[in-house]
Amino acid sequence: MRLQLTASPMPLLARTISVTLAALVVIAVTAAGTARADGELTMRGVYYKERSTRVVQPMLDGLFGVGENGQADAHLLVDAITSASVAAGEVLEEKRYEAGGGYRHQLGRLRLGGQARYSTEPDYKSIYGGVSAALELFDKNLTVGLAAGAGHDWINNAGMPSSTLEKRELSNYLGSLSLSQILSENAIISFTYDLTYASGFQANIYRSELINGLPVHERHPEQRTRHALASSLRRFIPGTSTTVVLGYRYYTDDWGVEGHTPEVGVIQDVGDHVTFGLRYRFHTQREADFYRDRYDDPNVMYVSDDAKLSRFDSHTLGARFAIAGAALGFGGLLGAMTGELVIEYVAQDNAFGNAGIAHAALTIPFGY
Amino acid sequence: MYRFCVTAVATLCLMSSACAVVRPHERQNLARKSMINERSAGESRFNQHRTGAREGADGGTGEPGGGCGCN
Repeated sequence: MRLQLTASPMPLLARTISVTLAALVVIAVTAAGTARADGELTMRGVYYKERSTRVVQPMLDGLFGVGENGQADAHLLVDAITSASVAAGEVLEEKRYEAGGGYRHQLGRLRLGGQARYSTEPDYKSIYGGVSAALELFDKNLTVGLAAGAGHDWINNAGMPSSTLEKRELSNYLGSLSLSQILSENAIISFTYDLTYASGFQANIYRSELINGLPVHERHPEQRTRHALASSLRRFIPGTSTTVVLGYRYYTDDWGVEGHTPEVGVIQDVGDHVTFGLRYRFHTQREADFYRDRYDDPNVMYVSDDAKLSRFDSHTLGARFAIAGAALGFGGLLGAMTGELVIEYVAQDNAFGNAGIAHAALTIPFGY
Repeated sequence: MYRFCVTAVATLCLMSSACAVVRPHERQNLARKSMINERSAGESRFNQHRTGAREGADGGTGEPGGGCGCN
């Protein structure tokens, strides 16, 4: 992911996350034995590996009931990124820390919410805040949602200490409209339209393209307007306790990228406590207007060596397995806990190469 | 953009045809986790982060993307 990374002592946020994780786990396990379930705590570890990048991401998610009509959530995570730099012939490491939270409150048919997120790494800091509203209509058969948010990023090239320190900034804005319609006792369809606008530095501060033998820093447009329309249809088959999921997303932006992403999935419940799932996702996109495999003119307005702006196809095949402790004969807290494994493989014909992903998670319900 | 508009109109037409009213006591199957979202918040967040860092197309989740230097 990063071309040049730095090793640094464990920052204050990392220690804070570690202490908070431990405290939350102790609180959840202590409270779960005696009280009703008012929330849940999920510990998840993710392992991601592609040709030259490996990511290990431990994370903690908490859901907390607040009074009769409120619900709060919070998450903490660490991205431990190891990237092999073929050009430099070395292995580079970096950590990213993220904390976020939100709150939703039900007021009759209206649900209001807000969320915030902060992410920091040696050469990139990001903050985001958003609000949302959802209105239930027609006896709760149709739900209409609106969301808006804004974020700001601070970027520098601290990972390349031999260079003069450069600083850049990026602002992001999101507007979203969602519709969810119950079609029958066993089917529901939903649509989400996202409009995002980004203004500021959107290239990679380290990446260069060789043009006529000379390195030229990546140059991307500073404005980008993006449209994404996603739909999802879920159908439950009572006779076999099977859920079929169909999804599709259309994407376009003013850089010329256009993408189609269909997805199909099957989720099979086995009794009340075991679930299997399979999914297949296909993604195809055309390249950005200014993207070239090779540039000949170093004075061209935009230069990009970003593989995700190239034309490519990708196929994702995934499997999941979830089991509650009750399926193994446990009662009480152990019976209510749920373990989950997710394995995915991504095959894609771009410079990133194929990738493998594995998740392991444990969810503990608790009360207080 | 033309295809985008066609897609948007088609989805709205599909929505308008969905007029079945399902009463609250008939929604036990709709309340299943598999009918809401089988993925937990952490899995969804990781997936969105990964695709945002590896695909030029992003969004459609109602959630913000980006927020890292992994571009």
